[in-house]
Amino acid sequence: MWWKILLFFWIAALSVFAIVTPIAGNLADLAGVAQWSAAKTIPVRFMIENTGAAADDGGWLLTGRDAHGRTADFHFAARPEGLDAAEGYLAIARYDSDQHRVEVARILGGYPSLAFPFIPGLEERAKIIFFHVPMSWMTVIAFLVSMWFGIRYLRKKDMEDDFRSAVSAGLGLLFCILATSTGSLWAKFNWGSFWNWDPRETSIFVLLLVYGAYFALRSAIEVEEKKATLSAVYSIIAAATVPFFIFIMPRIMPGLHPGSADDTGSGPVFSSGMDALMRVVLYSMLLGFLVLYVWLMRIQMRLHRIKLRRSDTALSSTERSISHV
Amino acid sequence: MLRQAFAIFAKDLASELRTRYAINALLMFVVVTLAVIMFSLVGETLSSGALTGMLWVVMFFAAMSGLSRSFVAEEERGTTMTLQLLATPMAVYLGKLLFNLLLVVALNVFIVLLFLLTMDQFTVLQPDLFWTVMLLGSLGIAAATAIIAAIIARANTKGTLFPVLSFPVLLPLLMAGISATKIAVEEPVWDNAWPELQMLASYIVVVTTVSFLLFDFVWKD
Amino acid sequence: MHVTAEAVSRRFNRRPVFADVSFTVSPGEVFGIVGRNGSGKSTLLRIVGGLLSPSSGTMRYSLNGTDVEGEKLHRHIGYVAPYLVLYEEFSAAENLALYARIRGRRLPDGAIEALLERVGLPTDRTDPIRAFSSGMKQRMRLLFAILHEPPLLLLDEPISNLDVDGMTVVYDIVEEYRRRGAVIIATNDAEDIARCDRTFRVEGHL
Repeated sequence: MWWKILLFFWIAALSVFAIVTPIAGNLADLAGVAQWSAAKTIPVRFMIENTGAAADDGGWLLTGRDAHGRTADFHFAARPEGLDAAEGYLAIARYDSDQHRVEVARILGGYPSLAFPFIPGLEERAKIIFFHVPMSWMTVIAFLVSMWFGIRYLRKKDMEDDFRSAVSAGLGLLFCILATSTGSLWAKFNWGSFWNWDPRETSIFVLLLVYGAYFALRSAIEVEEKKATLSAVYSIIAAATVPFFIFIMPRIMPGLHPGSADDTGSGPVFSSGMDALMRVVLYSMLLGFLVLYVWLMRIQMRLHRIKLRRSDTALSSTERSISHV
Repeated sequence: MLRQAFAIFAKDLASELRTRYAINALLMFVVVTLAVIMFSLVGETLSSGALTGMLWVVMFFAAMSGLSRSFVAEEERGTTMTLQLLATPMAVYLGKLLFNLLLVVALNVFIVLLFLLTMDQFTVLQPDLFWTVMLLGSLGIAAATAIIAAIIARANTKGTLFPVLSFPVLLPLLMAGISATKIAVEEPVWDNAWPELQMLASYIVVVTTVSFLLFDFVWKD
Repeated sequence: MHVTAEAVSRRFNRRPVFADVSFTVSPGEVFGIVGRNGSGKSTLLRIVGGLLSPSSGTMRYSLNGTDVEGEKLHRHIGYVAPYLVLYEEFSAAENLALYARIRGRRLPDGAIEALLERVGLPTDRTDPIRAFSSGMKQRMRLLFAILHEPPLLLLDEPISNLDVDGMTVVYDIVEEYRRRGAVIIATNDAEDIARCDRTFRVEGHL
């Protein structure tokens, strides 16, 4: 019982944390953004080195230091109220390459001790990684588990294994639909259209098709032993052909996802550039989803056993009534 | 076992030649599909690369309409048990695979020839590469569809599920096949298609091996 | 051929057909499987014939002291049943030639005619057996079962659809195969049961 409550709080707390924790860049990010868009502002966190002085244009100029220890002039349109020296702040700002100073648009709040790194092109949208990536992983894990129980069924002919296989596939389908829809929605905002046929989008589409075919096959067969055998065989064949995608896909279409062979624009999400905090949150979320999957499996298995017991008693009671006649 | 398999292959062939069930349906399917494509392309100029996609679409759907026949026919006539009593599962699978192979190679040669004759805009830069890809593609289609046909026949679904189950399994083959055909049609260098050819070959090996291992389960109740 | 069933059970959709069936059949025996309709006689015969695997329990076969593997079982079994369908688009002779070819047997000249005469089928018909009457089809099934001279003959209601002549043919074959090996008959027919040395009653679940 206790672990279900813990699981609930685990996922809820991580979700809130992922959403609430700000994205904060540093001076290098500011300079990088300025190269392709002079007017673009981004969130940046900095410590104040000195209280500063009035600038010649009537604004206010002070020295700020970023998390990496680099300093720069921070320019405010008017003297900011209540800024303390040696304090840190999170501001929306841009880099002015002509004046070689940071133009602060507004102060968002105090210096956040925990923040996700600024990733050009993704920014706040980078947070999808904490939900979308675990879902996608669970899709694949559930499929492998389903296949594993399918193989076990073929070896031992235990109907329980077939049921586990089917339940895992059902959960996999659920995760697959969630991953596809969250990814697609996100792609609309980041890449401009709901579907781009990028290699990973295509892979998950194929997984969706495999799951669909698996359940279409199951619903077409009435004899349970046959259903179990044929669906197990199908999932193994499907699994045997999936690795070919990994090979052929990059040759056919350009990748948009991070980690693709020609990945340039989308930045270092989920690669070496992902910072420690992002990793911790992502892996914690993954753990949460894994436990959620196990829990859902257990619920389904219990439901299955209760149904079996009820149909068994129904079966024996009809037998009894027949023998009474 | 090879002799057994060949006897089953010969039986299917004789049966098919007698009833002409699959052959007639397939030939008509190809002619009708190509006619529809030609009607819809009157006055259009399409690159050979775009036509490659159409060629593969015709090949895929022709395969989907006829290749489940060999197993479904046994189940429909009720002769599955007869065959189970006559031969080992291995021999049955091999015999059916041989029959599918013959059917799909003949079918695809017919489709490609008709395609080359009717589509003036479709020109091939490397005919040798092109025919190699067609052959490998046909072998792959036959290998993958044989086991799926066995599954749907045993599931008594009479072929409606055949394309549904086949498509995800065939997709890597189709992608590699289309990619390699495009190279054969548009690029003058054979080596560019080398990775695709390797993939097609390994796909055939993997699918056939897995099918051999699993056919026992499909065939026996 | 020795046939041993050990605690064989079979379920369909978790509904038991029969449970814990054990028996032994020895060479030279005609063994009857009886039981009321729906008790699972045919299911049991299919399991004995290797067409269906038991849900639990094991079947064992041995021929002249050596065990026969399931993979090779079909070579040593002849099976006749009303639900057995032959290749109806081929003629009787073509069917027999086909079985011989798949089984890897060479039939000498005139063997096909001799077989057809043995079960009382015309030797001059070249039309597909689709046009045969049900009794003639039953005679073809007998030929399907004995063409490879198996040491174990499994007959499911062998005299169904047959006239008096046909019954004589069946019982001749039963007597011959009693000498060659063993015969198992699943039946409720008194005439069949009279030919059996022993019978086994399947008590299937409803």
